[in-house]
Amino acid sequence: MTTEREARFTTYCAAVEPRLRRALVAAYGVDLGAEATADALAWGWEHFERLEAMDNGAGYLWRVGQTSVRRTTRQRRWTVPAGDDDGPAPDRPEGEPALAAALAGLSPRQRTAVLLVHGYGYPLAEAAAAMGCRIRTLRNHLDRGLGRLRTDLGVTDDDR
Amino acid sequence: MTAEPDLHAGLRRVTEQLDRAGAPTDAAAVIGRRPPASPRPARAVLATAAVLALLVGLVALLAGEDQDEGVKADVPPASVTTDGEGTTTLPDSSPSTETTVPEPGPIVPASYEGMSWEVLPERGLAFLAGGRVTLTDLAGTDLASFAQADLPGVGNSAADPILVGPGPTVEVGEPGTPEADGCSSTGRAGVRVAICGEEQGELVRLAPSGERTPLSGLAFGAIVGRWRVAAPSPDGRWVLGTFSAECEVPTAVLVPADGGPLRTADGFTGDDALRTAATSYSVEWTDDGQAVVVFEGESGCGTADPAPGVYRVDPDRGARTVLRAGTFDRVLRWERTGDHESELAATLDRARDELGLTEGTGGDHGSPGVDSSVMWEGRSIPVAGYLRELSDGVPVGSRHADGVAPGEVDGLPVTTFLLDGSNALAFTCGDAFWLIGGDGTWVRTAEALRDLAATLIPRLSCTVGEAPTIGEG
Repeated sequence: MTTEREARFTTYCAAVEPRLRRALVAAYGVDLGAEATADALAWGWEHFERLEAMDNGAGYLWRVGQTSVRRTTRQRRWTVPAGDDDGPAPDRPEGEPALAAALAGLSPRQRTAVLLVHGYGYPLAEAAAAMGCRIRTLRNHLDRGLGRLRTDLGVTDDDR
Repeated sequence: MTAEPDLHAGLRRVTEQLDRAGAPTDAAAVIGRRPPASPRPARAVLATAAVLALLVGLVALLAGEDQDEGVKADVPPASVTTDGEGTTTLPDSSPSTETTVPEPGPIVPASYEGMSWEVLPERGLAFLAGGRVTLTDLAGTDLASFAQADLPGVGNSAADPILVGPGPTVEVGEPGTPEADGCSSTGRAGVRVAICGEEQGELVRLAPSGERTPLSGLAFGAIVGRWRVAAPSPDGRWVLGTFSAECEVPTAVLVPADGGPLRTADGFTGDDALRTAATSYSVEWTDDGQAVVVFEGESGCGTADPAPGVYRVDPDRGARTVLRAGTFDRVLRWERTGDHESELAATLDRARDELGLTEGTGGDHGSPGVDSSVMWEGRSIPVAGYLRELSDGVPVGSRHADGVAPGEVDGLPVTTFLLDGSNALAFTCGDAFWLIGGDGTWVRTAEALRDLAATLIPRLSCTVGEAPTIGEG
């Protein structure tokens, strides 16, 4: 029997989970990010009434997820998992392995900002809300993150 | 070499791979899952705008009808400049009947069409006229306009902040942070001023220690009156305020932040300045240090300005440049808020901006108040803020605090210690504990932490209290 609270939480979860998971996976990698997402949402279920009352509950869950990651002692090396096929996709840019390595060299927040905005295409406001920061702060992370990626990958300015 | 489009295409492909690899977590999977240990209590986002207490009714007859004219300040005469054409417009003195200044009311727009939220600047002006509210930037460029009649109020009190959402919140109203002793303070550029006294008749400067230095009592020798609002300039040299004297006639006033004679925004000084100056009120500072002041075209017992409108006033030269001519029901400042997780995060961000410091990249203490960092002498120093109401001391969780000792920064009490072997420094300021350092990235020089604390404290616009204890969260 689904309670009314469960129904509300299910709706809430469906709304915030994708962005939360993507942010935490972008920050900490697939495994730690997924666990942190589950931890954060579990905390959200436990404190749902408080969460519902927050202006930016998703941003708070991002913090909860970060706290969860900090408690783990596991290896935190960030990687991009291999795709479905091992061979290079026809449309896959040649520099992608280098891109993954360059992304791994960013700070978690820089990487999250870059991937949310330029990978997933979230508007700045949404990405900032997901990371619980202001747009200006997000832009700082973006500028630094992209700048470092461009440097590491030798991106040319011609096509900007 | 990689081209920019390839970089973006690569980023999109990386996210596709991450999505494929990471299965979504649905609600059913987490209901019943043991949650992580409860994080520190949530810090609700506080609406920061405070609208000052509304008018105290008071009427006092203008005494001494044969008083001398006011003395012009020792600055160039105020001049009205429209599109580069200078015109001198010193107001005539014509005291008459009572003037009432409209007060701000609460507004929430029903729709946001035409509002580009993402590019909304930090601050701007709100013009209330003809039943409409027009938001502009500080240069007077229109950003959005709403029909006031369509905007339901927030609560039923005119003292409520005016809110516009969703996403960022626009709060319209006068600045001011309530202090424990009944004062209302505003800080900027390391200068904090407060309006104090039962009748709001004192303008003081507050040191980080809480020490008060009077800047002015009642302005220009007024017998009765009060300060409505006062705010330091972006460079911290001036304070722009509004003083209400007899008949609640407002006058915009410029006060040197280091003390010195007051001057009305149109350049008058001396005991009779209030009789001579045009009825006016202060609104905001522009980023380049110009005072935005409204000069009124009609005034009951005050003096009408022959060229009413909203002006940028140069505090040093006294020259004024029209931003928008005409009369308005009311012109207010608005401020974008809600971008930060907490008020402490907004405070630290503002302090960093004012100091020209950037956010660092490391140092997470896990504080829900603000958990950030500052680039200082080439290194990222973690800076965290905790609400005092949530703990008795600086919460460090399971980390090991060692060598806790009292210390001083510019004569202000701080606590120094080692946190998991790294130098750390904490202090109490206003309603928060602040923790600097202590994450392993800065283990050598405690002196650098003291330097950073000495630089940050005045910009946090709060009063430093007793050195905090260090303990569990």
